[in-house]
Amino acid sequence: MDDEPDIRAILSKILNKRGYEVDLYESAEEAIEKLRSGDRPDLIILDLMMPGMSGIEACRVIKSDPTLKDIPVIILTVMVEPETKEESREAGADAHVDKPINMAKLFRTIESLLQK
Amino acid sequence: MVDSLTASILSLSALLQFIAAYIAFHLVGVTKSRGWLLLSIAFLFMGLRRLISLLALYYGAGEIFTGVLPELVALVISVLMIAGVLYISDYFKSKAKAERALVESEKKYRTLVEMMNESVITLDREGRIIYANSKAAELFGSSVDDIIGTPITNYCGEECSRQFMQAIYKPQSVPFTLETEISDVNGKIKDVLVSISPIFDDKGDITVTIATLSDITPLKRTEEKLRDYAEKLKQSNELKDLFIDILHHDLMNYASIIKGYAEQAQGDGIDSETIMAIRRNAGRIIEVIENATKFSKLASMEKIKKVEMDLAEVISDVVQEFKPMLSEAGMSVENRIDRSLPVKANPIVEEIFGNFLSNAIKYARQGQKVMISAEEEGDYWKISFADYGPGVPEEQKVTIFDRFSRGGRGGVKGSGLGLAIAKRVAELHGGEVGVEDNVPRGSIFWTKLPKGE
Repeated sequence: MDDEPDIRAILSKILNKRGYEVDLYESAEEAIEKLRSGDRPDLIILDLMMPGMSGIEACRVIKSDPTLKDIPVIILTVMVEPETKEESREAGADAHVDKPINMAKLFRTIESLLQK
Repeated sequence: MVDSLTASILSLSALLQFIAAYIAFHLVGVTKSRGWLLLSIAFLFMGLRRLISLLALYYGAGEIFTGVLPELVALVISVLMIAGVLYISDYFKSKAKAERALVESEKKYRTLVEMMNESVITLDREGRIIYANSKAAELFGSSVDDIIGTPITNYCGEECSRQFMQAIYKPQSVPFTLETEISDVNGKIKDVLVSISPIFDDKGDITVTIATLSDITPLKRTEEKLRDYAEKLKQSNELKDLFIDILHHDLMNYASIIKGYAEQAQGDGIDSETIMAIRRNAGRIIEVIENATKFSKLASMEKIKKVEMDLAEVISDVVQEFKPMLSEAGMSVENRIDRSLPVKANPIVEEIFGNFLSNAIKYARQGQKVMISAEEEGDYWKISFADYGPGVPEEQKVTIFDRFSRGGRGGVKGSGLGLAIAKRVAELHGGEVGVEDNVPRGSIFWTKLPKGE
């Protein structure tokens, strides 16, 4: 989920090409609603800064839900402040990738999380 | 006959000599000089001699002071008198010397006070100036002669007068120091540091009060200038932080999107969707740079030139300009302003309305409509842009206009500088901006601008 349509578009393009099936959501609220309705992905990629519910809050909600907490979560952020990384870790994120996205690193992270 | 005349002269002479002895004896106590004691004894002897002669005459004993004895007594008297005079002359000499030294010392101190770089005045118990050095006359903008006799309250405001009179009557601490303002005879206000010291008499009462005044006006000016510089420095530091933040967030974000599309195109070949995305994001980068430049100029601006104009016309022009972007976003504008809104403003005032509209396009697209209205509110025009989008959360209603407070976790991404520019432009016009809820849905961005006469 990311509120920036161009980022959603380019990420899905690249991930599709790699053979992943991707669902896109522009807000965390929308995505969580979908998750709770039983649509269970193998992995969630969350943007940190979104209008309404932030990536950190969304991560907390997902990780405190017993039916969802096993889904690995990657948080995307342009922030370099160590405390945001710390905060995302505390919220239960399994990994974070900085923007601009290093695709090779993103794929490595996705693959290692899916293997677990 | 002869005897009675002699007796009268003798008794008068004896009386005068006793009186002289008494006066001389009294002077011993006053002058603390032994000379007077010797003279007193000499006068006493002389008086006694006359008294004995008088008694001898009275009892018919004839002349008794004959031979060597009376001459010896006269000699002793002469020695006593010479010794006494010598002692006394010493006393007068040293007294004259002390007086000269006192005069010299006073002259020295007076010169010192005159030459001092500080203003010195002496005040009597009523607060009148009884002495002033030339520096004090200069401080009060007058001559020494003209300020002598004038009350200090002539040069003081209410608070300063109260402080002075309190220092004269009841000094709480000695010396008493205060920082205050005085105005000279030409009405020029000066900042002064005053130190007040009372002079007490033997009984512990205040006789006069000495005050020294230093003109700290130039110091105060420098202090103000420094404070101004510090404020400007703080502002430019904030701007620097803001630009780093913009580089980091906005530009980095859009540049990374372009990079992603370009990499994708390199592998798959380019399609029109990719070209559009690259164009759109390059456009955003340019907008961010333009807005940052605009904001930095507005932030350092203190005054703007204002001309008479009609806000209704300005708003209708802005709406016209935004038509293509609005229709591209599937939005429409309902402009309900049906009267002229005269103001004194700078053409940059259009930035407020342009940014309200572009903000609505970015964040309230799904509301599909923006409604513009104007009303009179005292000395202001209140112009409202109502949208039907998701609305602004309560905690962001103030910070949304303040780019500096962004960057908080979970804040709005890419909110850019548009609303900060709108706020700054309104402030430069003596107005303000705000946002409130549009019931039941959306938000109302408003600005209040002072009406033109």
